[in-house]
Amino acid sequence: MDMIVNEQMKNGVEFAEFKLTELEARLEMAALPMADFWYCCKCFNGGCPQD
Amino acid sequence: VNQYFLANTLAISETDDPHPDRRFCIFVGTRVFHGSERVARLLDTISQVAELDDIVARMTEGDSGSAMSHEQVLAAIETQLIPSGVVSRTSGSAGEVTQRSPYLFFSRTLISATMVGRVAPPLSALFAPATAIATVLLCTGLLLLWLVGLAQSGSISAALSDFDMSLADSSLFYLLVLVSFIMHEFGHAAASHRFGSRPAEIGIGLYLVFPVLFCNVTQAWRLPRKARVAVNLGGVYFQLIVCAVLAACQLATHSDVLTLVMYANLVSMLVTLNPFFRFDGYWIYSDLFRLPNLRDSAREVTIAALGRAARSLLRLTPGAAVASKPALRLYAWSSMLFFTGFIGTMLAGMWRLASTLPQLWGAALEKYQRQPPLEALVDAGGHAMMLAIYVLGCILTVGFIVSALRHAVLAVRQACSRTALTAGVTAAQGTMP
Repeated sequence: MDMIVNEQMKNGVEFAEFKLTELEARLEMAALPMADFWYCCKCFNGGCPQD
Repeated sequence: VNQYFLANTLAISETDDPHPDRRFCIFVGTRVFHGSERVARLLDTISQVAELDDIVARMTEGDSGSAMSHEQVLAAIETQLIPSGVVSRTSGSAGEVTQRSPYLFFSRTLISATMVGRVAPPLSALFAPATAIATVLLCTGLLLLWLVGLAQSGSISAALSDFDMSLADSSLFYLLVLVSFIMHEFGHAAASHRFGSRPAEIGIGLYLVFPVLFCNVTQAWRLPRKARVAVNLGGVYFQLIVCAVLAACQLATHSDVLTLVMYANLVSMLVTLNPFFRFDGYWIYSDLFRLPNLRDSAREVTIAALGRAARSLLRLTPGAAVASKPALRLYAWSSMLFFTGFIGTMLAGMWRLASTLPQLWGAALEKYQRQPPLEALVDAGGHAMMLAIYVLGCILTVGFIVSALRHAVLAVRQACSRTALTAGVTAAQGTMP
């Protein structure tokens, strides 16, 4: 069987015609406000120690 | 006797993609593929009969467009279907399958697929064309009214700078932000239902340095392109509605918490349209330009170009240019520029955080001591969680970068050595140009 497959490959069978491409999962993501955002909001009152 | 079995339940639907390799959308269990007419027919046949002779007998009959010879059937099964894990030689076995690399970590379901399936249908009425146009106009008008009011009363930062968030305020803020983002996800789910595909769960996870909410709409791959774009825009559409409701409430109450929630929502709506992260903008670009697996394809284009550049530097025979759509090349190069900037910003942020950690720690301790115990505990917990997410995200992102660079270097080196070998053979044959 393997021999037949190899023979086919050598003979240039159009493998593109049998192409099966796995697609990525569609996870529609939304980023929650980042850590920086929270720190900045928290620091609005007393000023940010990083500044 | 050669027998072949499908690894899982099969669902095949025709796509609107003109590319012959993407004529069919093929679900095998939860995995989804694009395939040609012949592959789709072959899988359909294997789902009905198991023996090779029977499969071949069915595949050789019918029109020449999708008919296959004995050798072709065998080659397709052995070189495509078995290695990809969708077909096996023994019944009920999925075989050794390498799944696509995940891009979301620590994901947890927040709302089950069953619950999403119950809530999405009534909400999908908002996607009727006339309703959608009227809603977008109305909500945009209300938002503009709110923004004009804000501009007259001072900038958003001025409105926020005098704002002292108590525990009650921050609890309300967190709750409203969570509700807004869950509504964003229901936007995707409702659109998905409206256009005829089943939405799955809504969950939470970590993507690079971002904690994210997500809606699994993998079934939307079977929809036509316009419907997929509508599913992608569904989230921002619902968030726009939420913002309009919040704006009306803020105008009535003048609440600073609501201003802050609005700010978080508006920033998030802009961020989510960025096509370089895998947010809504990524899927919009991917679907609009018919570029499935956009991130992987862009990486291949970049690596191929780097390989050509390396060969040119080493004065080797230039390899053949890989044909790719202009939209893909544009994405690949813009994406590389964007991520270079992002990684630089991230490294600078990590350095800034590490170098000011003692001051931050001192300031935080001082603040906790001034606060009532419960408030201090919640604040400290929140800070610790945010810091942990940020550090973990940075580690994961650095891991991704190292792995991508290693992959790129290996691919370029491989391309160079292959060309060197070919160049040597060509030179020996005396046909070197």
